[in-house]
Formats: sequence, C-alpha cells, structure tokens
Amino acid sequence: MEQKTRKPKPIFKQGPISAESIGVSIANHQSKTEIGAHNIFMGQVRADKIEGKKVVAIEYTANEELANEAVFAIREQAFEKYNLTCMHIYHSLGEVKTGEICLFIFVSSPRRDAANDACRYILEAIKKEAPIFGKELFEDNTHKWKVNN
Amino acid sequence: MKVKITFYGQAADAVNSNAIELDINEQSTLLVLKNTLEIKHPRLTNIELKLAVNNKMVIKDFNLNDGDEISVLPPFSGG
Repeated sequence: MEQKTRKPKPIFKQGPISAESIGVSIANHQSKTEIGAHNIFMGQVRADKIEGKKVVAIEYTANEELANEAVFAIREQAFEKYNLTCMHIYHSLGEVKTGEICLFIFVSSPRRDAANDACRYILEAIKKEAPIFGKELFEDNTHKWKVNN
Repeated sequence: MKVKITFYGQAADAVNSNAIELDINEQSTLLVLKNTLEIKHPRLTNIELKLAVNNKMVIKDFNLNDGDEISVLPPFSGG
C-alpha cells in the first residue's frame, strides 16, 4: 500500500479560542460512534499576582513552523502509543486576556484510559517541546516572560 | 557571508530586536555566531538558549552557510 505523507496541521489561532468553537468541535464528533471517551484539556490564562502586580493577559508568540512540526511529531507519537480515534490541538497566538482559553487539546478514543493518558501526554510534551513563548502582561503595561514549571 | 537571525521571546527583549542580518566570516560555526551575539548582547548569557538553523533544531556545532536563517529560542512557555 502506498504510504500517505502526513503533513503538520497548523495549530495556531489568532487570539483566544472561543467557547463556541470548542462546542462546535465537540458536536462534530457525534457522527463518530466508535468513540466511547473524549478527554479535553483547556488552558486558561490565570490572573497570577507576581511581585504585587496582577497579570491581565498573556501575549503568545512562536516560531510557527517549528512549533507546528513539534506538535505534529507529538501527535504522531501519541497515535502510536495510545489507541486513539482522533485528536485536535489548538494554541493561541497574540493576546489572550485572563479567563480566556489559550490551549485546547481534544482527544478521542474508544476507551477512557487511552483518552485520559494521551491528553496528559500531549499537554506535557507541548509545554516542553513546542517553541511557543508567553509574555505575561501586567496592569501597569510592564511584562514578564512566562516560565513553565 | 550573510545570515539572518530571528530572536524570540525574552531573547528579542535582550537584543532589543526581533530579527537582524549579520555579516560573518566564511567558515563561521554556529557556536562562534552564538559567542559573537553574547559578547554584543550580554543579557543573552542569562538565558538558556536553543538554536535552530533553517527551521531545524540544532544541538551540535556546525559550519554555517551564506543565507542561513538562525532562530534564537529562549525556554519554551506555551500553554
């Protein structure tokens, strides 16, 4: 059989990821009846207080090409490691205010264990391996570069 | 020869620029370029940098070519 060449899918959305688009994404899976479990991770911008100043937004930048490739590699690894039906990953670029969603990982599988484990695996790998940079913006227009723990 | 260097995140803050073009000697290696940048912009030495050449992550040193595009990447902080 001829090997299909799979290409990285762009993961970036300008600005926050809307609750509406997440709802649509969930609805789109109702026809895939082999799925028995979805696991969703949503990253939300937190109003951290750092040195007495409150974070009001995070501005994300990235080397998009490298990040898309890194996430594609993570995606392929997850498909190999777990029994998954499908997977959707979106990350914000630009400004995302506190309370808004900046990362959406949606993993579907016939069984819950695979969906749960894969979602966690993908999240940790993205934080570690994708060249995305968060700039925490404060009320007084100063900023600090976000550090992932 | 000329190379293009793009700085991301706090590395861009440290050099006060997102991208520059630099004339470097023939036979310059990636490590030589990194040292040159760190001498010119000492704030870079406080950042744990990763480098990519022509959008491939690079771990080992190697000779650069005319027109190469180098990405200077600080620690990743997506999510």
